[in-house]
Amino acid sequence: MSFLLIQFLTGLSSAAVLFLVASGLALIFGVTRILNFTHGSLYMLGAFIAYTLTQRLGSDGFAFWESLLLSAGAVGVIGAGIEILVLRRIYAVPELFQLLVTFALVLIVQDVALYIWGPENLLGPQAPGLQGSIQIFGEPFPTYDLFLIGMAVLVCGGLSLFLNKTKLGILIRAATEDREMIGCLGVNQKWLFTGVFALGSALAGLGGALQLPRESISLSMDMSMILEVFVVVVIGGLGSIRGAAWAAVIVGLTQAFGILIFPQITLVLLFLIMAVVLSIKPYGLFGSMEEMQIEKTTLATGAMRREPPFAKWAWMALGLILLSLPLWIGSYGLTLASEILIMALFSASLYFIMGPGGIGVFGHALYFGLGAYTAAMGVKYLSVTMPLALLAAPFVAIAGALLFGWFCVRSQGIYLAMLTFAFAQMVWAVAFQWYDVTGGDNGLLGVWPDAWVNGKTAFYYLTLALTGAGFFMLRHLVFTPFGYALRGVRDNAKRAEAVGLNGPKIQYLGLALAGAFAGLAGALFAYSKGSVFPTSLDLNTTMRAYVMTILGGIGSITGPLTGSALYTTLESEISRETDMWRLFLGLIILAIILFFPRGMAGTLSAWSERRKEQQT
Amino acid sequence: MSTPVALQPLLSVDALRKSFGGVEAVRGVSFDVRLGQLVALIGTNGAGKTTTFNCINGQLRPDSGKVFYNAGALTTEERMALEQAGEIAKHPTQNRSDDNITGRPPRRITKLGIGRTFQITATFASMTVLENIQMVLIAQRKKWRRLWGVAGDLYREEAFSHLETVGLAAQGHRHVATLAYGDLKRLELAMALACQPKLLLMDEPTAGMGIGERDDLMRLTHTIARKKRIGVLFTEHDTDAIFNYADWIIVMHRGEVLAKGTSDSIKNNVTVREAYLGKGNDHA
Ligand SMILES: Nc1ncnc2c1ncn2[C@@H]1O[C@H](COP(=O)(O)OP(=O)(O)OP(=O)(O)O)[C@@H](O)[C@H]1O
Ligand SMILES: [Mg+2]
Repeated sequence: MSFLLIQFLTGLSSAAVLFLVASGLALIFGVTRILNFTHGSLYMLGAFIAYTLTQRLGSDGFAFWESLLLSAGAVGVIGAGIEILVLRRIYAVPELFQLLVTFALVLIVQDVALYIWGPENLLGPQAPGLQGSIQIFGEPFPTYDLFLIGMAVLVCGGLSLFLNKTKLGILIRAATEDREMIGCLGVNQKWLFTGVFALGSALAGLGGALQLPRESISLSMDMSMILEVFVVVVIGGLGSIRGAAWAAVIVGLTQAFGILIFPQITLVLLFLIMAVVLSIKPYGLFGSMEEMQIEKTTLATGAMRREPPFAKWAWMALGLILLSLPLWIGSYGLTLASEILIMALFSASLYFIMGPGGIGVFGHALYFGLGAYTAAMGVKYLSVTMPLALLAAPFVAIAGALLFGWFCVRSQGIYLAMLTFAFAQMVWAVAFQWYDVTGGDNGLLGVWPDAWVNGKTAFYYLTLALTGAGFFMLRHLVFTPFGYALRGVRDNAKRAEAVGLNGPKIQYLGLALAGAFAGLAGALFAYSKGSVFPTSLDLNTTMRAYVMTILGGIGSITGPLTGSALYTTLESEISRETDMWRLFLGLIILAIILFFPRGMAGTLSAWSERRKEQQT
Repeated sequence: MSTPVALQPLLSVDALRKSFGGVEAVRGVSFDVRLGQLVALIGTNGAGKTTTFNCINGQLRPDSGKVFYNAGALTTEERMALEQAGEIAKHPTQNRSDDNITGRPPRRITKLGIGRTFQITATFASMTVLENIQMVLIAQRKKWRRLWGVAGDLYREEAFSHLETVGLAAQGHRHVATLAYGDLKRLELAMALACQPKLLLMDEPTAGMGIGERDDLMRLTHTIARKKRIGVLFTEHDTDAIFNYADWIIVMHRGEVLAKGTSDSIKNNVTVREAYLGKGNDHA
């Protein structure tokens, strides 16, 4: 009995930190409607800065608490800086781009933090006066954790006083509830947004700083926290602080008790709860659909043109170049070319669902990874031949898409994107934690192609044939009746429904189709690398595909091809020079979205259109 | 209770109610629409017209009340001819409840022969005018599952003929984003017609159009309704469109039906004048 009580309190104390961070995120989302990936990074910065401050100012008595508060303040200032320098420019762009920008900032912060604090985990000082534990019904419980619970209750009370009683707080609430009012604020809107961002960031920073006496701080804190916090705010209903509080408690307790029952799969459990809640209440416990309708992912890519007549010649020329590649490009170039083709197919499958389908997904790597693991596990445990593995991979990916997609298409916009993300993370967690089968983060090695394609050239030609076929199938699909239906639902869901299209069903099948091609790409990827790691399922992999797609321009399916060629080459060049590929990826995303939101291809075609208009 | 199919109206709305949170948008509305008739649903802003439409085509589920749709309906003339010949009795009968379409989703309802246009035009923005119609035809004929073939080659002639009906054939290859507002409204009409409707719901078909254009569109609608045996239910704020073309007028006020009748009876109805017409003629 007392053991359960202790477990309950442990759950509450992790809920406390979760709530601090999540309430900041909810506050920011409510007012700015930006779902801020950077929030986890701000939390991590809170911990690191607090560490440095305690080193400088000392860690006893007043100095310790001063460091914590200063750190929260510093993170607030950093948040405000990010808002002023970057986010202010992107409030009007589609929300998917906003998410990408905040993700870019995550990557940048990761490398900056690595540069400043180094790769080692750091151990902070104990909280003065709160060391050790107290006895609760004869069981020891850390005093500091009790303090955390109190702290969260205090902040919760403070926030609700602030939001209900102060002028600024009431303004924030009004802005959250009534979007039209925001437009009437004029100049003040700018500062309201900045202020809210600073406050929300400071809460994240405080959450991070408070972790200092509890656990060693590391560079992976940002991702693990943002995952949990996303789950919390999505369960609670985006933008709702009350929802964040309840969901934090649910998640905290689930983890505390889940660890007793399924120690291996606590992460899976987390996302399972989210999936269950969202399939019952698609907009979270305290969220509502009306709020979200305004903010639907609008990625309408404008008109979809058939290619001009000369395009046929361009494709043939490209085909000839690709066919002749092994004759002149050399071994390194050939490996790179295979990777470009594979990533182009993967990105094209993402393009299919996000362009014509109009669905922002953050878990597309799931299908890529499923394909990769299918091939690897097939080779490893069943000794299947390569053709069989390549055939099976798309089907496993489709099965995954049909299983998870069913939950996803019941939501829309950000919720849908987050659900796909959640499922991808769930499978990632399985791959990461199920050591005996998947090899955990050591991955599965020795996934080499069959003897008949074991040469670089042979493998290249196989890749070219399969990715080429996949690419042209995807390209054709856009113009088929199904492709039109997908676009119709994207363009106007209400109209589509009124003329007889079943929107969710069409999107569901669209996800499965895209998943199939991603699965094929994943299997090829496994063979090309000779190995598979859980990273093939993670957010970075999805983000890479996004960057390629957007870099090439989301107006047409040639975008992913151009984008993959540009990005894969650049990344491989850069990674030969430096380890800081995250910084590089982050800066590229920022640059594209701030300066060329239509991508290279899009910018070029806009430019040529303008010239044409000037001529007529 | 079973009655001859031929005697039942095309659409029957019975004691419809719908509220949003505290707002009672529609409070017990009942009316009929007969085949070949143009029925106007009028009322001030917020009277509940669009909400009624949404309940009919399934976009909203009413809190209570029923919607009946009778695909076997006859026009008034046909019915009278039948009655005079004394042949009504030989006609098939059915129970009222067989026609109940309340709460079905829009995609099912449209396939029964109900097409609609929206107050805020709803078209497929990334497609050309012609492709918009082709999309409708593909949806109506369940060809959307096809993963082969080129959608742009399907039903071209047929789609063009719908565009010709509304006078948009020359604009067929333009993207809808470049269309004038009045043309968008006509495209929506063509999209609704492509559903082969027996019942056409038009939510403010002429709003935002020029005066001449309005009359053209209403005349066109009138002709189509007669020629193709379609029943039309439309909402309007433009009094000319209402009084010149409606065979029957239903006046709504704050969610309730205030009066029903022909143009003349509504024009002279004192309550209606006070509640609606008295406040100026054009609310668009
Ligand atoms: N989705 C909704 N949520 C909340 N209230 C709504 C919603 N749709 C309509 N209402 C409210 O219901 C009432 C009736 O609206 P409705 O759109 O049916 O009026 P209308 O007669 O079509 O008006 P108009 O002439 O302006 O188009 C209004 O008070 C409106 O604010
Ligand atoms: Mg209306």
